[in-house]
Amino acid sequence: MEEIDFRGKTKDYFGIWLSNLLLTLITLGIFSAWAKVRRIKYFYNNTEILGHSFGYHATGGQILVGRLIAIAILAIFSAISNQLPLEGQLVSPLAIFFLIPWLLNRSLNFRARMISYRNIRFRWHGTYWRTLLFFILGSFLSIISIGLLLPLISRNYYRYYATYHSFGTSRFTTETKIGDYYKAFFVNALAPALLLTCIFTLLVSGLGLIANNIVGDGVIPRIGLPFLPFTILIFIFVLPIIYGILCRNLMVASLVLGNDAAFGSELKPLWVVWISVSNLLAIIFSLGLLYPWAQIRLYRYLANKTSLEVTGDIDKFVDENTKSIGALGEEYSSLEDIDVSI
Amino acid sequence: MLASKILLNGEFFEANSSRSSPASIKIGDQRASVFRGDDCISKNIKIIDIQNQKNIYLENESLFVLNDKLTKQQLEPNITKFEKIIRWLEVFSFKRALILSAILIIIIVGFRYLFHSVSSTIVQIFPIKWEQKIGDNAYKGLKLATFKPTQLSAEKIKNLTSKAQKLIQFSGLKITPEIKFHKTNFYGANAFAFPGGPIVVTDQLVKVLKSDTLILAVIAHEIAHIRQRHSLHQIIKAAGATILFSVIFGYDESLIEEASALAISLWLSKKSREFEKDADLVALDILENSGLSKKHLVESFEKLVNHFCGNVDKSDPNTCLNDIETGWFSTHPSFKERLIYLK
Repeated sequence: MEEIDFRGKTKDYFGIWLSNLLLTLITLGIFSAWAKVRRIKYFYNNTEILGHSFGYHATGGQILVGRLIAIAILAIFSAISNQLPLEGQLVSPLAIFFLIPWLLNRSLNFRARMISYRNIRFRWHGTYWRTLLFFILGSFLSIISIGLLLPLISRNYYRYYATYHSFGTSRFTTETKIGDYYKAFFVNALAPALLLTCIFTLLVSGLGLIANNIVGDGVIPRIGLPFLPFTILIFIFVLPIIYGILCRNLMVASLVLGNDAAFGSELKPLWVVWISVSNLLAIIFSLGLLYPWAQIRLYRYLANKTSLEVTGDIDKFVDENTKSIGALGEEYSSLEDIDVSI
Repeated sequence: MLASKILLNGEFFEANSSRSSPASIKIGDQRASVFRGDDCISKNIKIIDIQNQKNIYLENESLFVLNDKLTKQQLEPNITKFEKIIRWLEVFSFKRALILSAILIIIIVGFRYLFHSVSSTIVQIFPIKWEQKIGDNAYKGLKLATFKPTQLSAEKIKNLTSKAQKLIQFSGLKITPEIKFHKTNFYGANAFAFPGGPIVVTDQLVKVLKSDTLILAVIAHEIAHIRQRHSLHQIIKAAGATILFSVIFGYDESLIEEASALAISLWLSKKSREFEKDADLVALDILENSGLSKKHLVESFEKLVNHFCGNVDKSDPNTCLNDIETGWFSTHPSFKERLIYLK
């Protein structure tokens, strides 16, 4: 297995981040489209497999035009909505809801086509109804089932994401068992998250108890209650990180590209939690200046714990002719925060 | 992109193929020719992009990967002035990083003050009709969700509405927001000012305060919100803060995104408390201008404190006041604080 090598350095990326930020602020946000391209390019160009780095081919102009079109669409929807009576105003959100799968497909295709490796572009083949089912309705189903269907839905979600991507004309395949996702959720994610929450709650209650003995009655609730939201926050944030990483491991470890390459992922969920939390603290205490370091640190860990084994001929991949692809889908998705998180 | 013509070695990938073969490339004037041995296999093709100082993407969708990275001298001569500035900014040195970080912090602080005056200007030029439309839509939405028809007598409503309209006349408001009464199981004894109107008073508030003058004092507070256009200020500030945070931190990591949302929320709550205090103080002027005593506002708050304290089974208002101090996330100052500055 060949480890994915990330050669990015904090001091190099710091310059890119800082100049992006300065130019974006000075140009009142216009430069952010080019900033986005420069940022992504830095990460992809410094990610190497078998001595070759990835390429990123979107341009700032494409991203800016996509953003302007997305803003225009939102403005049109908003203007139409304002002219309708209250009941009619539901039409706009409904129309946007049914537009989302199409936009997501455009977004995923745009992103995939903009990435290349050894002169072969990636591609997304998702269909409207599958995207609606796996990426959107699936989330509602897992909520309705109080999480009981979540592992089943996650398995289909990740499998759809992986198998509907291709490298040139070669499709990815993945075979995972539903039982693995149930085990990942209940045994490896829910249990540790509950345990962490319990430890934190007991710690807080213990402090309250000690304070109660020293100061007197009524101290416990006063000490414990302000911490309650933080206890809940731990549960809310730790669980998705742990479960997300476990799902990623399951998906990547079973990922195969044609008959030519197999992948591996050995991310440790608690280590990712540690990186995320310590990154956050570092950013807060450095007034944001350690943000580039935090990004590089997380990306390097994700890259280094992902591996690839070439089992066939890496020279035989071919691509279809590149068609021009607009950035509308991607930009609308970022505007509306309807990204697919993998 | 590249200065004089130079010949370099590397791997050549034909269009749409991952197959590579050793080749050499002659580049100059942003064009390239690729040679395999002595044969020229691609002649004078436009260079589309050079990434990582070694991957040369050509217009015919082929790729040439250099064995060694291009030097800065090889890359620099033909780049634009703007690209040169960006590259200068990108190069890391401790001194430069310190200076640029200081400039960045100054710009962000500058934006904070600029934003304050810009948001005030936007509020001033924002058409009142649009604000009323926003308020009307928000009211209709809440009416569908939580407001029920009032159970107050028609006479009581007529009486209060008439007195409230007089209050509006003395408030300096150029518009006349509607006063609406609703029963609600969700908000209890409360009143709301929607952007540009209407003002909603709950049946429970009327029942708790009983006296018309005390109810009018609360309505004066809501009129003050509309006169000062607090909701619009809040919307613009929320949008501005969100944009600034997303520019600085992007949307890359969930924890950072959540922390940004938390910071924005805390800041907006602080702003909201400031607006509430402003509305309280403006309400005192409105009451005075309309010939009502300023004390009515204090009395109405005291009565509301007694009501809320009674609901949580606390008979002594002072003990209760100490217990219901509000925190960082609160949108209103605590009753204790309000009573202090109003008195």
